[in-house]
Amino acid sequence: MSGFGVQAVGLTVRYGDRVAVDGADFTLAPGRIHGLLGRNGSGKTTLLAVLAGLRRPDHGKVLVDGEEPFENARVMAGTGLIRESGDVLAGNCVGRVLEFAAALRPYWDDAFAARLVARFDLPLGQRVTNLSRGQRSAVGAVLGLAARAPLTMLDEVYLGMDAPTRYAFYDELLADYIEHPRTIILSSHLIEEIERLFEGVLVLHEGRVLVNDDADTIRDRGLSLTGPVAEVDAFVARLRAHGLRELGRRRLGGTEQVSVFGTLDRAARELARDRGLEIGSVTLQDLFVHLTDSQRPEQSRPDQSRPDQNRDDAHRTDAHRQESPR
Amino acid sequence: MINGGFDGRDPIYVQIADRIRHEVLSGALKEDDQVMSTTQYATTYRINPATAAKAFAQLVDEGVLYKKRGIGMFVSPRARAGIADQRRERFFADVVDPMIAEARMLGIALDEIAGRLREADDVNPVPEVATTPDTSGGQR
Amino acid sequence: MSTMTPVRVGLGPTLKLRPAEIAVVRRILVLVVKIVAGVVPIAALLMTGVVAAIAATSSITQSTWEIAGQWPRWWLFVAGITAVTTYLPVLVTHGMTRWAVFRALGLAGLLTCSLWTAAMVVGHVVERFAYARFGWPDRMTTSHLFGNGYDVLPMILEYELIFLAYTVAGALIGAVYYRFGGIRGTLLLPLAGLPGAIVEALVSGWYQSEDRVGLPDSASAGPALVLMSVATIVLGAAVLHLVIRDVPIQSKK
Repeated sequence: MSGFGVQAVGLTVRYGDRVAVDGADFTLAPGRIHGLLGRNGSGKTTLLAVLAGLRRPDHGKVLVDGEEPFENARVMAGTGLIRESGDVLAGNCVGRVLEFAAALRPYWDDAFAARLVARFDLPLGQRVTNLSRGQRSAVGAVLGLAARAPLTMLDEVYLGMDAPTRYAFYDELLADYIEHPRTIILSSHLIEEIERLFEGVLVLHEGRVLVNDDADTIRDRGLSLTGPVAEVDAFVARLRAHGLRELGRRRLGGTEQVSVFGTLDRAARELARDRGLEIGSVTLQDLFVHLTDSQRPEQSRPDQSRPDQNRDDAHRTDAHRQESPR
Repeated sequence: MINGGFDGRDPIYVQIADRIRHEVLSGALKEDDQVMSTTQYATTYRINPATAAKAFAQLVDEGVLYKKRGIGMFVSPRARAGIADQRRERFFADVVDPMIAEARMLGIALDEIAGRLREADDVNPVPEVATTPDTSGGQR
Repeated sequence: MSTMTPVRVGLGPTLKLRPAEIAVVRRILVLVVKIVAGVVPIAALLMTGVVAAIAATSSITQSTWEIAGQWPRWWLFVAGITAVTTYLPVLVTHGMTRWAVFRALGLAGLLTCSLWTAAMVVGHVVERFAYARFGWPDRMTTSHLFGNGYDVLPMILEYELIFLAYTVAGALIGAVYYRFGGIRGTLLLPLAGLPGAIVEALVSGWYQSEDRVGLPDSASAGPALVLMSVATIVLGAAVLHLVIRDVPIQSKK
């Protein structure tokens, strides 16, 4: 059991007049951890719902392990979607919720579940509705991990957790994934800490696929150039002529930093260094912000640096800082 | 170190590879020593094992590591020499030239620097690091 | 996986129950048994008290247990609604197909109705026996398929049919509400509740001018009634299936 692969062809899902997923085409290789990124309202949750057989596509199709998931007993039993809202029977205590899942999930591991409950310090006798947000998220994590579904999808499950719980979650996820390889999709709009777990990345924006690639390949293609304004401008202009895409600009006094999507060969890098430009990388988080921002027409005007976009901010581990939804 | 000391400057696989090269060069990792497995890297630094594997693949390509099937990754016998060679080639471009540029910016005379270098050499001469046997003759 | 799906028979959807479905049915039944085991003795006690009180003050002229029959049908109606609105989304989210949920809830519903029918029948028999000791008549006050407290077979038929109809009606209403929302659900409410009304009417002989107690005289009318009731229930279940077989499961967010 090494995980279900996913393939979408022209996938379209509508809620009445609103198009949530708009002709999405992508492939997710089996047995890997994939990040599903997108702003609020980008179609992530809808996409996951379709993969779990909770909705049917309006157009196009999606294949999980080679078959359409809707009302497909084998695929649905092997697919586990955990949402932050927690789809558990109301009024039940944690222990009963886990028993329930154990009865329904064919690959459930009781011993693993028990270990996780101890690790997250969950009170088995308490009603789920009486738990704190962080504890409820932890219950979701246990349900998602202990089920060992060949396609496991965790939708923003860790948002309610405090830092120690989050790290425990990442550790358990990684360790169990290594021992029991399966396909895992981690969906989020907040990716600072979790992006290092990704092997593949799928970025959705307004229902369409923006990026679908290997995580390290994407990271390789994100570059930042920092230096005196004139030098940076000139250099970036040359890059643009070669087809590299500018993602964003920041200026602070006489220094400018431009983020670029593309690769520089050795010669270009040496040239940049000669010109006094500093080459840095762009984290997936920043790439994601830039890519989804850059879809707006007002972009590519040099901006005064905005405090909340200061690069140092991005490196502070502050997963509770949420982007303003759009 | 929660993040394993990895910052956002370079992709993590680049940082892992750099770190291993550094440890080989400094002697912390010796010839035929075993390197941490991808699994160990993954669980220690909270990264995907594929990222570590990418670093290893690069290092195997460069001849720094070799793989023993079913056991793990080991440091190649000529790794240190090979890395030293590489760094030597880039030493003047990567280290000396930037230093000269900085000195100019700060108004420090290059003579002063030369003097300091000579002092240091008198006190503690630079040891010779074994290089890969050069078949084409001549080092630089 | 040894616990996974058994071999499929034929090309259509399989009717065999998978372990997950058996687990669901068992879980529901455990709950129901607890309720029945709790409620029925209390009801029996209450009835005995009522009978004793009436016997002491005036005289017993009719069955008292008959009234108890109202309670299960409305309980089942509500249970039907709840089963669909709470279990369906959670079960599908836990990886069961809607068809499997339909089967599991259907079996659980059938068994639950049978439990209540058994309780009612036992009650009637006990009452008849007790009344006979005191020489009281256990006359039924409304129309039934059965004539008296020992008329067990028609009794079983009647209660089972009515209970099933009410359960299906409740489930249908729950499904309609879940799928179409509050407003359309409310508008469709009378339609969804039809099975219960129809079967009740059939069984109680609305088409006759006076109350009929016991099977109708015409030899073919009895089976005809039963057949029509069964057809109503099956039709209701079919409509229920149509409503839930591709219903989108909502996100609670």
